[in-house]
Amino acid sequence: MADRRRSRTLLAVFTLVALVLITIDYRLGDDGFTAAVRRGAVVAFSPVQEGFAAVVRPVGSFVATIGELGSLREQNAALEAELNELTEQLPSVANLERENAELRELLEMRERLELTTSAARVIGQPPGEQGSTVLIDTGADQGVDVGMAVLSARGLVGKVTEVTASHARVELLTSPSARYAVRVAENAETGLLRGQGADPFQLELLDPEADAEPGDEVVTRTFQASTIPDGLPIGEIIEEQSAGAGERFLLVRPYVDFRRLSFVQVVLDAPEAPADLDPDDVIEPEEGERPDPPSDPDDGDAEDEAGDDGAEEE
Amino acid sequence: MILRGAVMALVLVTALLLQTVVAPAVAVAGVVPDLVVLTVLVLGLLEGPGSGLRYGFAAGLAVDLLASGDTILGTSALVFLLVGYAAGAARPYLAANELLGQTLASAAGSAAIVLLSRLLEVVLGVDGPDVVSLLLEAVGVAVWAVLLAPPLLLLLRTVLSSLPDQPQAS
Repeated sequence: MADRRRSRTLLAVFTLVALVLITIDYRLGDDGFTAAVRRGAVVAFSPVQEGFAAVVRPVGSFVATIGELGSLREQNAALEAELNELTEQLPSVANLERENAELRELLEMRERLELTTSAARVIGQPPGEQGSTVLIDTGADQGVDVGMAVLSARGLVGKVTEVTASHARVELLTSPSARYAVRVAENAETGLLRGQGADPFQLELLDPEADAEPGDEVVTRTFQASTIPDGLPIGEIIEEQSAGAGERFLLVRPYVDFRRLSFVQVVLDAPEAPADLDPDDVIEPEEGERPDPPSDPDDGDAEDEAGDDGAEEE
Repeated sequence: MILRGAVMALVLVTALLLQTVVAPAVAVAGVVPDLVVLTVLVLGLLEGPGSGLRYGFAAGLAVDLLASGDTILGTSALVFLLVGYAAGAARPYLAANELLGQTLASAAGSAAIVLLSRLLEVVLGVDGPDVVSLLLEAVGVAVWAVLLAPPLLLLLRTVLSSLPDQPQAS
């Protein structure tokens, strides 16, 4: 009986402590001491995680490979069939040359981006999160900052949301709170992409009647105040869904396999798109380039008006 | 008591490491087993409500501290301590078929934690998955709990029964 009473007292005390913590963190947000405590916890736990990951990774890879044997066989058969089909459909040399020239132009355009990146190993997923974020083993010491885009060999993975000296947290595209401005590569239609956990991404085109078909590629679009480079591949449209009342969504299958992330690259030097024009940077036309004032028979008045304009600009 | 506390701390650190490093690699349909939650439930079922809520609070706090900035500190601590206490309080009613009862209680508790956590997030205005994804996740972690609870129950029962001291609040 005494034990039961003691348990209930403990329950009340711990519940009260938890509620106080929730209230404090809710009110202080990202700027309070709770955020600093969190960063400290990540800093302390990350090296342990990293060491543990180094020990168990070979075992995990072995188990994962065994688990994937069935699908690998199927994949192998499918790829062989695809190869045979492609061999039969070899296009003419002239056609290849034309495609080559087009691809070269695309390649040059991509090279113009000239991104500087920092490679990072994915350490693990924070507890209690079903595929929303991952931790990586590169941080502020390597130049990583909040908002930077994170890529894998196949396309955009997500963006950095928190940084410590040696580690960073990346919010994946799959996170239900992830929102990205995107563009359909084939027709430049723009839209908003939302993460849906393990399900395909949901794409809402700004023009509800725009054409977009299964197989079309979805890429990133630079938006106001965005640090995500333009034109990074995300995935391809797989089907259209009607949401009623004239609304429709497109489902997008990602290129990146978010369950098998091991190495990623953080884009360090993406130009940040301004939220608006900085008034200090606006270049005024020179005096000689100003449009002529309307002709007025009274020259004296015209000069007075020009003088007033100059005073306003200052 | 100190030894028991040290063992529980070791269990928590091990569960956190397995949860963050190993569990994502074994996801089925995007659902990963929640090993930290499972240890809360199993320790509650084995040690009683007092230990269940203390360990639940510590585990929830650790999860909150290591989670992303969107998570509000204390939410997991609150949910885990309540479910840890409930698991301990349910212990006398599972005596007839202990292992089966405890396994099913672990599954129900895992699903309850998913739903309670989301409910608390909704109250606090935090973005999260839609209802269908949430229900699938609750079912997914419950299935994982059915698979993983029996070996964990047997392991922790063996370890805890070999300790000289007994839990105080049970």
